[in-house]
Amino acid sequence: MSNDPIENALEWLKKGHNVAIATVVKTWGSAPRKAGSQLAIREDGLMVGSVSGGCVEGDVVENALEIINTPSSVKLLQYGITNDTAWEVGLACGGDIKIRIDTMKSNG
Amino acid sequence: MDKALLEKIIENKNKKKSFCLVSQADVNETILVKNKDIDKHHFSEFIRKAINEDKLILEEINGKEWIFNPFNPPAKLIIVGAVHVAQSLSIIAENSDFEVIIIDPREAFAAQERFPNNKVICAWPEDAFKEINLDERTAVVTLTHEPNLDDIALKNSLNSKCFYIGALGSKKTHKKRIDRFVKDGFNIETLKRINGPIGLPINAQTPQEIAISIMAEIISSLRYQKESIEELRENWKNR
Repeated sequence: MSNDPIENALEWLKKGHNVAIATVVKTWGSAPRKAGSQLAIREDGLMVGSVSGGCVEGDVVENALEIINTPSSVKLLQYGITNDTAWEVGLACGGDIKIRIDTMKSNG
Repeated sequence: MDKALLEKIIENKNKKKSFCLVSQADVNETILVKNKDIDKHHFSEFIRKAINEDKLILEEINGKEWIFNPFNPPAKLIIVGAVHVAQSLSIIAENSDFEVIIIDPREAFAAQERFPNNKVICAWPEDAFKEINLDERTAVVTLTHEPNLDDIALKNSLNSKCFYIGALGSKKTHKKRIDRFVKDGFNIETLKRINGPIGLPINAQTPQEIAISIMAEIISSLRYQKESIEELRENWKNR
């Protein structure tokens, strides 16, 4: 299977799944993936692509799943540097990123 | 975003055309602006910038944030010489989102079965190059070891805007090549564009490892600013 997020998202939609696409819309500092990088998420949590080096994907998927059954919604997320002492989601590399999630329904 | 938009994105990607997705940051409405329609759009300035710099732009306009997400055709890699290294290189390059074209007039090498996912042109480089646009997003690599094949390809590349030229062969072979080209009227500064011996010096031994060293050098040429690439090469050599 191709590892292109858009191609996978379309395949999933055709098969009747609800789908979300996360896009990096801004980066500051040493962010791991450049702006424009995308992650496609299926309603069962399967994902293709990336928006970081693996640091925040888990949280992005969780956020996407919260809205994935409400098609045509948008959510903006922002992540900063990880504080080593806290159990929080963040970027170990010292960057900041802003992410947009779009949801779409299967019969759209 | 919806299914129709995704279909349009894939259709335009397959056509190898530049385009840009435009949306207000917090509104679920995204439109696809084709390269030829940019001037008609009221944000043409930002769309053009995003496409030209191949970089997503997030811009505040009249108090609202807008996203300009550009899509450009993939960079191209032309491999002259459908040899063993070419088989590995084509796989790595494809995986790095390059469009790969392989040229070799020798039928035994240019068998399509050896390159199942790529365009193979079984022709002499001088003929094959006629149908290829060597633009700023093209890299050319010669791997045949045959001066009568490699030289034509290299001369075509030197006369083009391609961002990377690499030639397989030892230091001795490369020196002979440079001497031949100088005799043919090329100036020595121009000939510095040829990366020879090809590849970053990682002491590659196998065809697969050589392919990695070549791909790494191509990526460094694509991603580094022109000024820093010379410095990078010196640092590698003096390591």
